[in-house]
Amino acid sequence: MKYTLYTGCMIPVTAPHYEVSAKKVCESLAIELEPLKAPCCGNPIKVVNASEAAKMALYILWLASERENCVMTLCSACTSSLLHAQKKVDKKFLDQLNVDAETIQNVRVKHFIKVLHEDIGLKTIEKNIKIPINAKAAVHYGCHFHRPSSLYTEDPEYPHSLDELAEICGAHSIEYRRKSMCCGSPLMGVDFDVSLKMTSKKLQDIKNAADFMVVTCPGCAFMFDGKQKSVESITGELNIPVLFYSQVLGLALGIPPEELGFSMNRVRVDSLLEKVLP
Amino acid sequence: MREINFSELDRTLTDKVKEFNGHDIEFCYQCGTCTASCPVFEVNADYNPRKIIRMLLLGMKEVLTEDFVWLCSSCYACQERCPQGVLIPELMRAVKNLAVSEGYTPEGVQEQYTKVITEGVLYKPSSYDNRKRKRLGLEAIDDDYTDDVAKIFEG
Repeated sequence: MKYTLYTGCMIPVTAPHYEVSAKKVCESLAIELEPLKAPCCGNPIKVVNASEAAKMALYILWLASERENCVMTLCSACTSSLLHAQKKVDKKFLDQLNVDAETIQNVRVKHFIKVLHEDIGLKTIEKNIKIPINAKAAVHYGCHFHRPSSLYTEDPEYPHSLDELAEICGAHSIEYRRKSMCCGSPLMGVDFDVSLKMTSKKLQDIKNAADFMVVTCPGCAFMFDGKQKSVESITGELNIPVLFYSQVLGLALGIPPEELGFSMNRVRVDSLLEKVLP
Repeated sequence: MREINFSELDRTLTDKVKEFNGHDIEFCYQCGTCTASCPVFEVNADYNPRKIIRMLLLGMKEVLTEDFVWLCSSCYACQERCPQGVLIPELMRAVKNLAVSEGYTPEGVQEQYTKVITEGVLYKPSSYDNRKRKRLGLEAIDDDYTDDVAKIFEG
């Protein structure tokens, strides 16, 4: 299967370990990726000017429309921006690009996790698992992975794809309070204190209940992993490893950990890897 | 409790919000499900979506100058639970867009905006970032999107 990979602008800089591990996992599952060189999806400027933000998303869709492939996104905010822009297209802008609305609306867009869950399927993944990751996982979906429900097929309150994908790797996916709640990252630039408090609530919910956290979005990782040290000033020691799902699946597929970018994880993962790897 | 001066209310406020793609908020019956669902309110009670909607419906235009309107994290928890179908995060976005058009933009937000519309990206890799990428076996990135943004915003 072939996909157009749109990483957005955050992942290549703040989460190259997500990018590299997702690429390795795709290679291992025979998912062919054609990278799309393209600017930002527009999400960061929505708050200032939503119509300009929509133009940026439409531009990405226009670039992607030149290929037949489904667009695979890694970032939930990008996914949401692109899907949202398809709902209500700016016709005047499309005229400027010389493309019709139908072409733009026919571009399929799917988050990496949904590609795994829907297109590859749990059964195929299960057949390829070599090393079951026997540990307790707290999965964090991230808001824009499944909300608003007008854009997605997954339940807005009780999504399940990531739980199932974690369990297929051999992990036990735990239930916890605030499971479908926000990581706090959208408020980083507005009120750092508020965003840290939001992050701390979730980390406290999973402390002592899970061996590690699983994320699927660079914004969420930026908070839970990147800012965990700052959160500890509120909560006391946490020391919860935060892995991208692609890293978890990579390990389970038997990809050597040195190829999955663990040197970039801010909270050390050594003792977790020692526990789960043979 | 604060006194509301009726002569200072702007009854066109909800219409103005609608011009920025805000949706009908007249359906709101102030049940407070949004506020009860809000993870921001949980840590900072200054951000109260129910109250913001009430202020808009009354026409209290000072809401546009308040810092708290910028605190919606657009997680959509409220929208999924609103019994009246009010599209709250879209509404908050419209309020922010309207606030910007009236000259109220937090500094950090303005910086992000300027960066994105001029460079085409919020995150531009430095040579340090590219060294990290190479260590992981990824290619260095040196893309220039200034022509793309020029094309996007030329109209």
